[in-house]
This record gives sequence, structure tokens and C-alpha cells, in this order.
Amino acid sequence: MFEMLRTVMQNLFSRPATRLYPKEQREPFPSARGHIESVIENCIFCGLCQKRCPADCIVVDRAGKDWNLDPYRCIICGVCVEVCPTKAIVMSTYFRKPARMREPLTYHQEERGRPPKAKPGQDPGEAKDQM
Amino acid sequence: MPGRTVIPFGPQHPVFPEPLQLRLTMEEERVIDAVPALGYMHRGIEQLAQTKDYAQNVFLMERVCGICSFMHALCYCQSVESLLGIEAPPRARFMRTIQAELGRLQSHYLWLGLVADACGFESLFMQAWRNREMIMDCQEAVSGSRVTISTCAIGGCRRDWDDGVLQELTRRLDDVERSMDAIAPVFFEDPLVKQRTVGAGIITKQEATLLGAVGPVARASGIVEDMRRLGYAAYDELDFKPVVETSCDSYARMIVRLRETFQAINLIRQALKKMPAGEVLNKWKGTPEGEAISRVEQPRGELMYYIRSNGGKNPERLRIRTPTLSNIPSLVKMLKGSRLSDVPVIALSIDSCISCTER
Repeated sequence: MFEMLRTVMQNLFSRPATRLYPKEQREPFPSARGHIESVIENCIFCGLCQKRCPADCIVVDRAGKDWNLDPYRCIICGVCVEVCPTKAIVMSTYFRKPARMREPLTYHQEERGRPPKAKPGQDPGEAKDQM
Repeated sequence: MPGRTVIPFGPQHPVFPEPLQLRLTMEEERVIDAVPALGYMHRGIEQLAQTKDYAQNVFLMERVCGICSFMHALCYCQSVESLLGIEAPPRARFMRTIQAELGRLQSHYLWLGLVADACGFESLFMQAWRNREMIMDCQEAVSGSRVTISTCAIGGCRRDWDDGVLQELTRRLDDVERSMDAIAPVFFEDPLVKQRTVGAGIITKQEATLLGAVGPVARASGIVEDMRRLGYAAYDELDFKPVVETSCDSYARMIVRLRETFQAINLIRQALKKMPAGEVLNKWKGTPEGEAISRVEQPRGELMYYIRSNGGKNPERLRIRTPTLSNIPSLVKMLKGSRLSDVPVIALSIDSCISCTER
């Protein structure tokens, strides 16, 4: 009969199990999949991410040098991050903030800003710092 | 003869997490007949699977069910692997076992919380879900995601775990077990829980066999049936015996699940000890013609995937048979003759997952 009483009493005098969420946020796990970001300078517009995406949330416009993402359709599986040959897509451990409008994201590559050859491993690190 | 009343139980009902309707024909307080009505959650996933390629379908199959998502991906990957004639590397097989057992653990804790809620035991419900949250953290620590963990891939697992992850998992498992030990006696012995469950929804061994019950429902009626004995993933290398109870009622079904949670912890520990080093993903290419079947033990019972390929990029046909569908005839049998006040607990005792069933 009193099996539960002990747990209840312990809970009375211990710290709450919950967090006051928006005010107090937990550090994400190091391997957490939060959201994807594009490092557009590295993109070569091969379209592999668009082809492999299970949710069809990426549209690559080769002619216009645009990389479009529908973040509300993205299931954050990380396939695009795995397949990208130039590491132009990186996974962030933080979730996206909620939004009022379902607007797609467009990353546009400037003609001059594009490096002649991407250096894999370097740029994603820099991109993480910016986030 | 007293008059009969038909009560629509559901589709929206506080005890059901998902929409299932039971049309109960009542004679005063007794249920004379129950007619289940399905079809509120159909999403056309089988059809959609025919338009996606094999690798993309892993993520789609994970979304068949929110609670046992890893099991669906595992079963699908196994069927495609047998179609391709490849096998997952040994390390990946152990990783799959660990993740499948974590999935079973959190699914059973979700259900234990719901049954406590159906019994009106609010503090036990909160405590069970609090424990579940710790298990979800284990899942997130190993996979990077809470629910749809997306770690299974055709030919193995998508990413390897380093020592840090394994230590983290071992440490968290100890915490989980400690909190499980604290509330398990309540489920076993508390008179409130017992009053609501003992003797409710009896289905004998013979009836369960005839009606094709699977999973904890079958095991609570004394049928020794567990797909894990097939030895898929790494279960053939682990020491494990199906949990069987013989009292055939809702209490037995609760005890089976409760004992399975401890078994799951034991299996994870064994797998962590025996896990070899090495590759986690085998490469594969193309798809041969043919068909394949795979079966796994989901938290709710036997899950079966049938896949047919005509050699093209997408599967020609994908068929999923989920455990809830097999358990619904047993549910109808259990409900007949029960009191209306027992219906919530009995309906919950099969742990129905409607979004799996209707896909």
C-alpha cells in the first residue's frame, strides 16, 4: 500500500524533474541532430542532396546558384550531410527556433565569393562558430 | 430481456492515445458485443513507399509508428538485406539490438504510464513517464534524436559509437534501473492497480492461440512466443528467455511488460559487454528481383514486412503487418462479458498502436 509513498515523499523534497523550458535550456548531446545549415560558398550545385533527400525538402537551382531548403519539411535525418561531396551542408546540434510563417530558406551563392576549390573539413568548422 | 444500448467508445477517448472506435453493445452494465472500427489514421505509407527508393524508405518506415520507430526501420532493413543477400556487420548487429531494446524499454514505460493513468493513479503515471524521459535521453545520447532515431540503414547502422557514448549509455542505464526499481513494486503489489487489472479481460491460452494473439498478449496467456528467438540482430548470441505469465488477465499483461523492461536492461548490458569492434556499415548496390519477408518482435508483438522488387529503383510492393491488427480479435473476445467500467483498462491492455495498424 505504501510503496508509492516513499517515492512521493522523495519527490516532495528533491529538485523538480522538469525545466522551465524557454528560460532554461538543456545543452544538446554532442551527437544531437538539431537542424541543417548550408555553407553555400562550398556548394558545387551537384544536386546530390536533392536526389537523396527522403522528404524532398531541398531544391537545388543550378542556373540561379540558389540552394533552397524547406525547414518545416526537413526531417533532419542527416542524409544530405553524409552525401555532400564538398561538406557544404553541416548539422547543428541546436533546434531551429519556432516561427510564425512557413517560409522556405534560400541560400544564394555570389559569383565572386566562390573559392576555386572547397577544402573539406575546414569550412564546416568555421560555419559552426557563426551559429 | 433488458433493453440494449450501443455506446461508441472512442475514437476520441482519454485512455486511447490514438483513435480507435469500439462500438459496445451493452446490456445494463455488461458488454455483450464489441465492434472495432478502424480507419481514422490511414496515411497511405505503403503507397508512398512505392515512389521512394530503397534507402529513402528507411526514413519513411520509421515514421510508420512514433513509439516503435526503430523496430520498423530494423524490420524493413532486414527484409531489404535478405533481398540483396547481404548481412549487417557483427558490431552493427549488436548496436541494433541495443537500440531495439531501448525502444522496447521506452515503449513499455509509456504504456505503464498510460495504464496507471487509466487506473486513476496519477502520481504513478507521472513517475513512469519521468522514468521514460531518462530512457529517451539514453536514446538521444546514442543516436542524436529522441523519437525517430534514424540510425538503422540497409547494411548496418549509420554511425559508429565511440567509447564516450558507450560509457554515457552504461552510466545512464544504472540511473534508469534505479528509478525502475523504485516504482516496479507499485505495479506488482499496489491494491489500487490490482483491483482494476486482476481478472479483467481474461483470454485463455486456447482462445489466444485461435485468435492469433501476438506479443505480450499471447505471452500473458501462457503462449511461449517471441520473435526474438529467431535470432535476428544479435539475439542469437545473448542469453534470453521469453517472459511468460499464465493468469491470462490484464494484470498478467502488465506484469509481462514490466518484467520485459528488466529483461531489456539485462539484454542491453549483455550486448554492451559482448559488442565486438569493427565496421558498422556494409556497402550495397542495385536491387535484384524477388521478394523477401522479415519478422521482428516489436514491443507489441510480431511485426512482419513483406517486400517485392522487380529490379527497379523503388520497391514494387511493400506490405506491413503490425501486431495490433493481430491482437484486435483478442480484444473483442476480452471485452465480451466485461463491465463498462473495466473497458478502458482492457482496451489499453493490448497496447494498441493505431497509427502502425493503419499506416
